[in-house]
Amino acid sequence: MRGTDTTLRGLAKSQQYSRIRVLSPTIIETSNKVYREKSYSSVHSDMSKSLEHFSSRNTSQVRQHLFGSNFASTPDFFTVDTENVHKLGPMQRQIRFGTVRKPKGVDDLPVTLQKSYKNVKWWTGAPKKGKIFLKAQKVDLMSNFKDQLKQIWTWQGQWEGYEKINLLKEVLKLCGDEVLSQLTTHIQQRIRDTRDVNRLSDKLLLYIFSFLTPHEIFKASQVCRRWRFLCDTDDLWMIKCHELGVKEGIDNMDDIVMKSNQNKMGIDWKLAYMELQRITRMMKWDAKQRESYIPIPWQQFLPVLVTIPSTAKGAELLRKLALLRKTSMATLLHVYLLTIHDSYSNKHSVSMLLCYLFRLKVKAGLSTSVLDFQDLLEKYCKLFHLSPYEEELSVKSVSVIAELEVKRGTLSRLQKHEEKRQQREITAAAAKAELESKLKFQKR
Amino acid sequence: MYKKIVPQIKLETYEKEVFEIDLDIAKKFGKLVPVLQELLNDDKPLTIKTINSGTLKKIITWCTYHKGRSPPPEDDDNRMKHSTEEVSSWDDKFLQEDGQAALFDLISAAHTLDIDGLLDVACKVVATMIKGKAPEEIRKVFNIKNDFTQQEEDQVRKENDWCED
Repeated sequence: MRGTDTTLRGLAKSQQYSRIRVLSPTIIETSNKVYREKSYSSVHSDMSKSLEHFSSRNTSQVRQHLFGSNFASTPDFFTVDTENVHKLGPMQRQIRFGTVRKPKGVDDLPVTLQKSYKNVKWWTGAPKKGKIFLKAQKVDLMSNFKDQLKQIWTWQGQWEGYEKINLLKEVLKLCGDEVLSQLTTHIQQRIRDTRDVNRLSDKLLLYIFSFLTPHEIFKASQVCRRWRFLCDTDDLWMIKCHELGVKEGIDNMDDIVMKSNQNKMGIDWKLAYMELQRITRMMKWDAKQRESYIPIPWQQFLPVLVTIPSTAKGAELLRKLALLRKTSMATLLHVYLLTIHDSYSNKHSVSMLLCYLFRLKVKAGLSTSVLDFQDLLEKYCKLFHLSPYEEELSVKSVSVIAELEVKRGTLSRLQKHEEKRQQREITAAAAKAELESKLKFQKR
Repeated sequence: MYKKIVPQIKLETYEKEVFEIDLDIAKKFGKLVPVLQELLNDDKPLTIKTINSGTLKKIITWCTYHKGRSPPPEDDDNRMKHSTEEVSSWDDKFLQEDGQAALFDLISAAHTLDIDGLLDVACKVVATMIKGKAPEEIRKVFNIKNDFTQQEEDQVRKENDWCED
């Protein structure tokens, strides 16, 4: 019976349930069921699932939540009128009520204070709190031409459109120039009022803006001052944050941002959005890179890598990239080294990258011995037609080796390296000497 | 002849025109839901000064059109594309046929009566008017006067540079 009753309470209830979907009774029921039937560990995962459901809200609900409450409206601060033309509301047959802006404290004070201040008696007590009785200011049409106006009102209700226009035309024929010019401004103002978006309240304008993308919001903020003010509103950007989260698969992005607000200060949601966008973009780019280059052979990425300048700066860039993506950096560096092998001007960057490559390998536990490094060094030097004992290279390599050795607590390998190097120099010198002697011998 | 009696409520607009609205449609007016029972019993119409007859007519037409159509179920896919979801062509035509002034009236009225679907759709229509236009074009469409000085305009553009790409 309860579910189908059309009484007031039932109606209101069903409205509420459809509005607040997270609290719908079926979800609670199922989660209870699950709790009874399963053991704790499996229940836990199920519970968390249902909890996920709890925390997930769709964007329209967030919109509702944000714009449901009352806002102060700002059109009066941003009015364009400079010609002192009052906004003309629809003409009314009854006595008009208007609010008079008063400072907070003054609100409850007796009217006499204002009487003395304003010096004009244009009110007679307050019919409601905050509302004040306004008389029609210039000519009280209703009192003077009561019957005629009533007649016109009934005509307006009964007549067709063209008949009304005919009547107005007849009336206009009676008017003089001055009245006509007054009338034109009046009509222009009236048309402008009805066609103006800015007569909508802040809440509604923000609601409209919330359907725009950030880029379009940026365009809208250039339109006029009021729009600019509204486009900077935190609530708007909060929704945009939430939308960004939904787009990336996070349902409660705004909660996350709120929780990460450690200073307990107000959150600048526009800034937060910018930051979130930057992060997601970076992550996406990163994921894209990773996705694209791990499974595919590295040859395909040669053209990309070639565009990275083969200087120390480029090497630094690559190093930073490597920090972002730890796993397959070795292959990336290898490829990069291959691409730049024919340029001689970048010995420094080559050596730097080489050392870095080796360090990565050490970190990954692929190789730990100095001999491995020397092998690597020789291999690459062959590739690059460099001597492994060229000044820049050797300085770098020595530093790497020293690092390794210090870690182990011995310097023996370094000595061996030095010895080997000396030996090679000696052998090279000997070979040279031999060659020279041979040449000399031949000459003789 | 047997005539089915449809419970109706009476609303009076700004022009003092009285409308009789079926209960099914009146249920869509979120603001009226709490007082619906009273209105059914009451013979005197409820006066809503902020709404004019044309707008109320439009609202009733919209509600009757959408009465049979339930809103699409809110599954994950739907939630994802909620904000970018297109307005149906009937709605688009219906809302735009009477010009901007009527549309804005409709938005205000939908807000005062708290009609969720209509407010959403109408706001989306206005949003599509803004979409993909330069500031100057937006001003033209909505008849807004540019109250920025040149300096301010440059500054706003500079502030929002991060959005450009």
